[in-house]
Amino acid sequence: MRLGRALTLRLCATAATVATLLGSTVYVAAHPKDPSAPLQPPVAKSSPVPTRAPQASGRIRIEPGVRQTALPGITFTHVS
Amino acid sequence: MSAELARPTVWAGVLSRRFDALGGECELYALDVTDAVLDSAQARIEAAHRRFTRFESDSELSRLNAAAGTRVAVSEELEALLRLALDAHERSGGLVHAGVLPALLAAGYTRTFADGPTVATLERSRPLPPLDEMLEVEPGRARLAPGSALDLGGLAKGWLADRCCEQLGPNALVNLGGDLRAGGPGPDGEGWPVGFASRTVLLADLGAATSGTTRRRWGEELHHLIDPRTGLPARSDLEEVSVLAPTAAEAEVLAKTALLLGRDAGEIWLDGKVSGWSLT
Repeated sequence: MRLGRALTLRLCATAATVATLLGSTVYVAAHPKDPSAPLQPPVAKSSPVPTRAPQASGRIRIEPGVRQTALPGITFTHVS
Repeated sequence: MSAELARPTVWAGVLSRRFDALGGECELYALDVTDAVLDSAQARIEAAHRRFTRFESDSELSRLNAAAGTRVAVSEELEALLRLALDAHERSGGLVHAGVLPALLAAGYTRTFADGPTVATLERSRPLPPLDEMLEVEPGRARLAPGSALDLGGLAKGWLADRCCEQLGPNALVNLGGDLRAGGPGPDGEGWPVGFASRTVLLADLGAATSGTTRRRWGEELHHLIDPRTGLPARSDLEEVSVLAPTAAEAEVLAKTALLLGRDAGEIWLDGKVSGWSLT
């Protein structure tokens, strides 16, 4: 009884494996890759103008005694 | 050099002036003053430009450089600036060094930036000796060691911004090519609004300055900021440092020192010394 059940399970597993193999073979044969198919999404064309490499983000610290405002500055400090 | 540009008054009661000098744009703002006060401050800045430029052979600085090895008479203003240079050198551990002119010339910065650089000859670059071995200052006189020459660049701008701000009165703002000093409570009584890195801060009796290698650059590793430890253009992991300090001159010294130290050491150097900093 036990021997028959084990044999049945083995046959089922083998059949499932063979069926999967055959199925995938048939699917791949029916869907060949088309090298001329457009890419989705399309790849952006490279810019003719080189762009600046991203810079490391800066760090800023302002002591609590210095107030800040959302208004634009009347002037600014900068490299000269 | 002094072509004045029209600029609208941005706050009621604020008189403003904008002109080119000291190798960049200068801006003056003041409340409750007359045009004559602005005229006087502008004249002082233009006179300082003629006195301290290294690009004119007859400037007082050029004559001091040309007389290296000899003790020469210096004006009160140049003497004050030379003393500031010695003090800045000491307080920065030798990093803010006015004696970089030979190194700047070797890097190709031999004429105004608008005229363009010349060929760099860096192979003979050496670490600079301490400034107090190159420069002696006594009342009314100064002496440079033979072969030495000074560039007062940013120090002169910061120093002059502080003095001109005082000259303009109790409520004024002076920006000399990015080195600025704000005095008094500003137009609304809360401080002068000034762009500082990505923020706007309200400055009352504070200075600000930025040091960096992003401008006056003419090659991969060629720019105007000389590291006196090598005699070469600095190689820092920072591109710009902005600082808020009690005066523009202090801010200039602290910003340049931090940039030469680099990101980690620069941050440690600035902490506790300044009212604000930005490292990029």
